[in-house]
Order: sequence, then C-alpha cells, then structure tokens
Amino acid sequence: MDIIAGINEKNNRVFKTFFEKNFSSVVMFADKYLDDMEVAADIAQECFIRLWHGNMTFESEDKVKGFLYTTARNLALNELKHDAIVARYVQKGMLESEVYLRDNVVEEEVYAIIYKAIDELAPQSRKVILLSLQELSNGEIAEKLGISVNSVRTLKQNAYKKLKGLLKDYFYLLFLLDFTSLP
Amino acid sequence: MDIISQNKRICHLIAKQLWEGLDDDERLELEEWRLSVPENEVLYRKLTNRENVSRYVEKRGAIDVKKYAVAYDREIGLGVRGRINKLWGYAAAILVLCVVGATIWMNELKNNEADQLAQMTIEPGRAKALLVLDDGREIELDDHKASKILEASGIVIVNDSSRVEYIPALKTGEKETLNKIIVPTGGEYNLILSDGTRVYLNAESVITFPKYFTGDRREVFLEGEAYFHVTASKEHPFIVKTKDMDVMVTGTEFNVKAYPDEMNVQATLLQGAVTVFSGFEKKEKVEIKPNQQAEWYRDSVKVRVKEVDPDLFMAWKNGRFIFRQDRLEDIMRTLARWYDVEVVYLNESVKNMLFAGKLDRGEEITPILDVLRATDKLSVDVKGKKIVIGLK
Repeated sequence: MDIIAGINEKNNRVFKTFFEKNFSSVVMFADKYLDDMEVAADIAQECFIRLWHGNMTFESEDKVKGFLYTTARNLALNELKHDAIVARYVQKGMLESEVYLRDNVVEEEVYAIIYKAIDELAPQSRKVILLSLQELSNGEIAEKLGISVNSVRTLKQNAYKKLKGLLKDYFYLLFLLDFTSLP
Repeated sequence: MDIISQNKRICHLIAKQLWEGLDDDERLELEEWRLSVPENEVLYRKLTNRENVSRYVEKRGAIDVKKYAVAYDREIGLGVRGRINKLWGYAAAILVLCVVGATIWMNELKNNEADQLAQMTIEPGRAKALLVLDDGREIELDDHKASKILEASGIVIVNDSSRVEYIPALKTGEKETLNKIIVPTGGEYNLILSDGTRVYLNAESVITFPKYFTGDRREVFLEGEAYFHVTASKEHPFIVKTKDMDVMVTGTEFNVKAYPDEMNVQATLLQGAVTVFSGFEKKEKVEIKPNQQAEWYRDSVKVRVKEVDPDLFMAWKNGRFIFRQDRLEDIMRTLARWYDVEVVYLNESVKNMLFAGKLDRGEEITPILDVLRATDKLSVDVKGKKIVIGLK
C-alpha cells in the first residue's frame, strides 16, 4: 500500500513500518531541545500515538514528518517549561525561535540520510568509516581493528564507493529505469 | 509549503557535500544559500563538522527502537490485541473452509472464482520449514510443539522458531545419518550444523546434511539458495554439492544460488577462499577470491569468474532485496519465491526491462507493484495470487 494512503486510511501495518523508519529521527530531533535521550524517546512515542489517534489527512510523507517534528518541538518546549532552571537561565527565545526549528529539521534530515547510508555498509567497512569520522588516521584505525593499513585503505575506498551508490538513490528516486531494452 | 519540502534541496546538497562532494553547479547553489543569511553559514559549518556526524551516529545507534515499537504496535492494535484478531482470523478461515466444503458437497464444484480470489492476500515470507529426519518423520519447524520431539534426538529449535541447531555428538563412532530441511515458497530458515557452521536458507530451497559429520569431509547437498558461514577446519574440507557445481572450502563465508528453474548457478565469496568444481563430471576446477563470483552457465556449459559486489548477492540474508539494473523477469522470479505469487507476462519484451532499487523483505509487495505501474509503460494486475504484467 502507498505510504501516504496507508497513513490517511489508518492502516496499522503502514503505521508500523512508518514508525520503524522514522522513530529514531524524531527522538534525535527532540533530543536537540531536551538533551535527554530518554525523555526525547517518550516524546517521540507520544508524537506517533497522536498521529495514529488524530484525524488529519496528509498530502505527502514530508507533511507527516513535518507534523511529527512540530509536535515533538511543542511537547519538548512544554517539558522544558517545567524545568525551572532552564526557564530561568537559558535564552528561551532561542529555543522557541523559527530559525532553531529550521536548523534542527535540516540537521535531522541530513544526518538521517548519512546514518542510513552508513547503516547499509558491511560491518567492517562501517567500523572503518565511523573511526575515520572520529578523525583517526589509517594507522590508528588499523591498530584499533587489528588489520593492516592496506586493508583499512581498501575498506575505506570500498565504503566510499558504496556510499556514493547508496546516496545516489536519494537523489534519483528509488527506481532507475532503462527503457532502451523496450522495442 | 511544509518545513521539510522547503528545505529538502538544501538537505540533499549538504548530505551529498558530506560524502562525495558536489559538482560545480551544485556547489554554486549551496554557496549562494550559505551567503544569503549568516544563520545558514553557521548551520552549514555545524553540519559538516565530522565530530558532530560521529556523535549523531553513535547516539542514534543506541536508540532501542524495538522496545518502543512493541508498545506502539499495541497502541495501533497490532501487538497483543493484534494476536487475538489473528486468532479470530484463523477461526474465520476455518469457518470459511467449512462453508466452502459444504458448498462443494452440496453443489458439486460450483466454481465461484471471484469469491476465492477475494480471500487471497499477498504477504511477505517468514520463517518456516519442514525437517525430514533419517527415519522419514516430518516435522514442521515453525510449530511450537516441534522442539519437544527434537530435543530427544539432540536437535534444538531456538525459541523464536526461526532456526534449528544441531548439538555436536557427545560420543564418537555414531554412524552418519542424513537429515533434510525443506524451505517452501514464502519461507526462510536458519540452520546450525553440528560443526557450528551457520546456514541461512532462502525460499524454495532444500538442504540435505548429516546429523553429525563423521568422515574427513563435511558434505551437504543444496538445491536453491543458501548463505554459508563455515566453521574453519583445515583437516575437514566443507563441500556444498549442487547439481551442476560443487563448492569446496575449509572455513569462510559465501553464498550459493542453485535454483533448478534458473539458467545459472552462482557461488559468491565474501571472505576466505573457495574452490569450485563444475563441468563434465565436475572436473573443471576454479578458485575464487573474496568479491568474486563463479557462475555456471547451464546453456553454454561454461563456468565464468567475475568481480562482483558480494553485498548484492547476500542482501536477502539481511532482510533486503537489492536490484542493480536487473531484468524484470529475474526480479519478479525472486519476488515470487518470497511472496508466494505467480507471475504471468502478456508480452515477452517486458521481461527484459531493467530496474534498480532496494526493498525491505518485510514489507508488502504492493508498493513495488505501484512503482512498476508508475512507469506508465506497464500494466500490472493482481488477481488473487497471480500478478499479470503487460505493456501499456
């Protein structure tokens, strides 16, 4: 079933899949306000529950995600109101600003793409990429994983080649077509 | 416009910049955005900071999605309550069968095709298999009662009933007895042999193997597709025999695909080294290295070795389908095995159309068919468990 139709028709299997795909993003987004992963996860959970019980219809998947992000933001800001220290000392204006909301949405959308791409790599390549993200040199990575510097280099190359391919899918739809084979 | 659509282009540009860099036009576009207001430049610098990316990946990886998914399933009526619904479903199915039986009895096959079609739904495959013991007994492995029967013979079914494990023989000198696992259409199953070798079986596959390995060689016979993670033992080579090709290793990870209804037989290597025997009396010997594939062409009776991306051939084991410029017929054959459907082509030419894409094996087939329809070149009709594809 089409995702957006499934969501509008309250198909529970579509909701399940949508939850699995997007839950982490909403948690990470809420955490930017709260800096507390557990409360962020509870809030994300609440957002998806509201989505299920609500009676809005959406035109696109982006709109659904937009709803989840704005709900998460409102719940998070509400949560912070109860936090006396934050209320008194932190620049509340900054947290509530539209720019801050925009920045967090962009950050989440960018990093979710990168995360999903890394997540697709074979375990060893993933380890190499994560360590190199921590700015470790090839030599340090080799030592840490107990493999040769040459293997690190190869794994890195393979991973980047693969990531290129994976990211491509985000730029040109899911399916690529070739009609040259048609008569 | 919503907040995501508004920023989508920028998100994609930054993500692309992070991993592979941009071409000139894209770089110009991003620079323009960065320069337009100071906040943009601040955000750009923050996002392209590697430390930030790394912290994000670590944090996100630690989220226990499953834990929250269980609670959510319950909320939307799929969890505990869902199971009760399922039971009602079974009850209804039995009732339908009774009614159908009675109708047939009374009317002698008054065939109402439309009704039958309406009852059939297409669902993704799941863990299921049939175990045939050496004494000929057949045991359904997804049945909870199965574990009790097997325990007595030194075979353990893991509680999620998605895999069966053979415990090594305690006493030596036991004679070699053969067991068989049959995975039907729409199924998959995992097997751990008595030497610790792990075997992931794909749909429509049959593997015959000894309950305990006794001789110098460890031999199993495969029809269909399986991924092997072989426990190393130099003295006891492990051999996967198929009708056209044998694959010999001492300890490694590889995938073997040998379906009787396909033109080719493939062995793809992820790690270690394997030797492949094919051709007349299987005397033609080829060695392959990691990231290589030996492919036996049944029509031209030839073996060929080529470099491949092994992940493409092992994706099924990780719950995915990955297609890269594959023929529609090949894609649909793979899907048919998993979704237990029959595919009918109205035009031969459509079989050779090429598609690429990544799919989750746990999802329904409908979105895939919708993509085919979206090409506007194909007509796709679903009639019960039959999918009819033609030119538009």
